[in-house]
Amino acid sequence: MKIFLVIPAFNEQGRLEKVISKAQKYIPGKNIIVVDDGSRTPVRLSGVIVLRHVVNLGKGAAMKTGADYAFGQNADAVIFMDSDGQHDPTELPKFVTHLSSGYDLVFGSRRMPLQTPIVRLLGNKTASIYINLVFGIYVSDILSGFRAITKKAYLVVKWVSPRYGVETEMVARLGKHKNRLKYIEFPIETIYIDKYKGLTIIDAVKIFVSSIWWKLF
Amino acid sequence: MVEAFLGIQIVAVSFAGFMLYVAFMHYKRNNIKRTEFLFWLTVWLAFAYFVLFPKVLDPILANLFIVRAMDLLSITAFMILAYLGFQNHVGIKSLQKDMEKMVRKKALENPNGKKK
Repeated sequence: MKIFLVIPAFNEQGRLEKVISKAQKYIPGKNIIVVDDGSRTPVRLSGVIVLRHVVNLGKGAAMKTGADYAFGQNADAVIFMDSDGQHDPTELPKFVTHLSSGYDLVFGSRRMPLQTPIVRLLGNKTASIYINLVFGIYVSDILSGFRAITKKAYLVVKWVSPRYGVETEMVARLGKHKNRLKYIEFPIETIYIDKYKGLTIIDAVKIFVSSIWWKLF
Repeated sequence: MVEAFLGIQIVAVSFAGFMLYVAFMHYKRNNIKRTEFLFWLTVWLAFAYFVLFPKVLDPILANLFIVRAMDLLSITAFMILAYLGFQNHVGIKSLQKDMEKMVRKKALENPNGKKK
C-alpha cells in the first residue's frame, strides 16, 4: 500500500525539522509532503517534498493541496500529522496497520491528560456530542489533526473548509456517508506545546454555523 | 426637542458631506468610475435634502405608516447597508475561492520550488 504523510506547516520551521526526522523512521522521505502554508520564512528541507502556498490559506487548504499531490502520485492513502510536534510519529505504524486492514478513515484520538485545560476538554466533548446528534457519528476527539484517509474516502468526504473547520467537516461528511466508508479511531498520546495555538472560540462559532450548511448540502 | 432634532440634522448633513468627500477622493484616484461617483453623489445629495427638508417625505410617511422622516431614512439606510454587506460577503467569498485555486495550483505545479 502506497501511503504518503502530509504535514501542513505555518511558521514551524524549528519544530518541523525534528518532526520530519522522527517521521522518516516510519515513512520514506520521498513519501513525506510538507505543505508550507505561506510561512514568513519559506520552509527549506531536503529529502522530502515541499509544496509552498505563496499566501497563507489555512490548514484545510494545505491538507487538500497535500492530499491532491499525493493522490496525483498514485498514493492509496495519506496520513495527516501536525507540524508542531504535538503528534508522536511512533504512532504512524498504527495508522498504516489500520489502513492496510481495510479502513477508509483512521482517527487518532488524543487521550486527554488531567492537566488538559477544562475549556479545551469541554469544547472538544461538546463538539463530539453535537456532531453525533446532527450527523449520527461519534468520534471522541473530533478536532485531532492526526488522521488518515484513503483515496476512496477522500473523494467522498473532500472538504471545503480552508481553515480549522476541516477536521470537523471531514467527520460531518463521513457521518453523511458512513454506510459507504469504514472508519476506526484509536487512542494516541499528545504533547501539549502551546496553549494559544489551535482553535479559538471564534473558530468554534464559525464551525457551528458551517455545520448547518454541511447538514443541508 | 427642537434643538435635539436640529442636532441630528447637523450630524446627518455633516456625515453626507464627509461621504461625498470620500466618494470624490476615490473618483479622483480612479478607484471608482464616473458613473459610480455620480450615483453616490445623487445618493448623498438626496439624503442631505431629505434631512434638511423632511416635510417633502410626508406623503410617503403617511402611506407607510411611519411617524418620523428620520425613521424612514434610517430604515432605508439599513436596507442599503444590508444589501452592500451581502454584496461584500459574496465578493470576498468569490475572491477567496479564486485565490485559493490559484495558490494551490501554483503549489502543486511547483514541488520543492523547482520552477522559478
